[in-house]
Amino acid sequence: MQATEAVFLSIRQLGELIRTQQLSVPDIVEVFLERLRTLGPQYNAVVTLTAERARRQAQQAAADIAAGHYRGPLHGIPYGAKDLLATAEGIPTTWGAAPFRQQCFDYDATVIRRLDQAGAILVAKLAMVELAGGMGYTQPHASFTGPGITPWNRQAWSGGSSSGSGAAVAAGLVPFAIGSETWGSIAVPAHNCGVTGLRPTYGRVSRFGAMALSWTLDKLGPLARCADDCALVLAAIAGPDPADPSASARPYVYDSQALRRPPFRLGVLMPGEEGVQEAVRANFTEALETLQPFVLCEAVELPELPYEAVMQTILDAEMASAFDDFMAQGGLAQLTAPESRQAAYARTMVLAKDYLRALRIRRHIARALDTLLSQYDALVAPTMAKVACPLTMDFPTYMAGRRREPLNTASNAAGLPAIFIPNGFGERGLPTGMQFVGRAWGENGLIAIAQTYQRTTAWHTAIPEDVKKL
Amino acid sequence: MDSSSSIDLLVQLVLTHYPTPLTTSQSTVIREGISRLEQTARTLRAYPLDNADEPLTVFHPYRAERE
Repeated sequence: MQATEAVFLSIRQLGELIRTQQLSVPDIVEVFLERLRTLGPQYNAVVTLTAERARRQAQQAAADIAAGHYRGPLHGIPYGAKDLLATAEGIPTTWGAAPFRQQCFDYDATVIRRLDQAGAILVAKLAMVELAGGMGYTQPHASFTGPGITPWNRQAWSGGSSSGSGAAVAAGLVPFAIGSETWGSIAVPAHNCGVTGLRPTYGRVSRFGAMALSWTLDKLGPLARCADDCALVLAAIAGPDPADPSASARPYVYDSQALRRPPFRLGVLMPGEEGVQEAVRANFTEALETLQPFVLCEAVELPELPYEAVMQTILDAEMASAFDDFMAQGGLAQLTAPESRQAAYARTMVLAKDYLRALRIRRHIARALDTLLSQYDALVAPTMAKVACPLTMDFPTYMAGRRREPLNTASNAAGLPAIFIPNGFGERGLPTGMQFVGRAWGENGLIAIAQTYQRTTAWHTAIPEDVKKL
Repeated sequence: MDSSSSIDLLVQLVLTHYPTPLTTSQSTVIREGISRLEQTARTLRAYPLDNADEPLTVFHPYRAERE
């Protein structure tokens, strides 16, 4: 097989060709670098190509593999990192924001270091919504690299804030990418770009070296072409880290042969009537029918709790502290999205007692969701009520009250894991998707369910026409 | 103090903390944002809590590991 034919293979498939030296690591890295260089700008997916580092790592990987020192399934696999992850060697880490265009760190984030150790090869820093959307953005043009564009429709938003991570995987610019989610930032790009995203349990992956938006809400996770790939990446990046006190000591082990087998019990949150596109509803219903031989479904409702108020208060207060000095120095004035230049000031006025009240209610949320989830292997719902927003529209107008899906809000408040997978196509040729949410530390259960679906369907293997060839 | 007065105070606090020149419409954006904060806070305050309800974030005293 030629390296150019391998760009849409899964990590496992690509890794096997690399391990058996049927594909050369330097060759595959050059192919992805070329795709990033030529196709990346069409989707505003790339901030910085890390070609020098990648080529050096590729040579080392090739030598190691030839000498019989194979590190595992990520050895020799190129990847992109959301540009909030610190990278050394003079590679800028821009946080998607014009004021930080030239920012450089002299260390790698823990996730980057762990992927290095696994033998993966960093080929690009990927575009993102400025400051991970923390200043409050309401339309797609919220990054100094331009609006993220989904490879499925060049007039539609790739989603955010991990905009480049979603687009790059969908367009075959990288086999996998690292994104982050505070409140939707893996879910939305995975959905809009038709790829698989995994948001681990809070604390599963070290946040050291990642821009902090909200210390108790930020999670780092992979976007890739399938659930198995996401699991392989999670296995490389998860684990305790003395540099991040929130990183759990719980080990994460992934053995695809040892995953739970069907039947699975699913608590189904139906999308409701208001503001849901017909294709989203139809594809979700059909997906449940496809899963029927493997699952027992029961309609459920989320416990009634003020999820959104809790999330917004925690995010506002922690964001205001994380960016206190930046805002005091007038940094907001240089942001790309006009609405972010003033809106964030208001969000600094959360009273301390209200922030603490939100944290106290959060304990009730965590317990209530765990009680519900203890009866099921996962809760399932559409990821979003609509396909990707047009580049020319703002979210309040397009999403009409459905910008935040309740399950995403609730599960982020509780720090729970989720997997987001494509399940069809809708309006304007754009993907639709669904999310499975599990109990804390239950990533493998979600991966088992997603893999069951992906073994029976081919949505996750679909390739946008525009990117099949350079 | 009514809600409008407390919002005015918070807007003034913003302008004191972040002395960036703002147009009238920009000040309006801030005021609207603070109004939403107030609304969010009312939602939180409507949820009953007991004294025993602790925040989900737990403080752990720090001690460096021995070498």
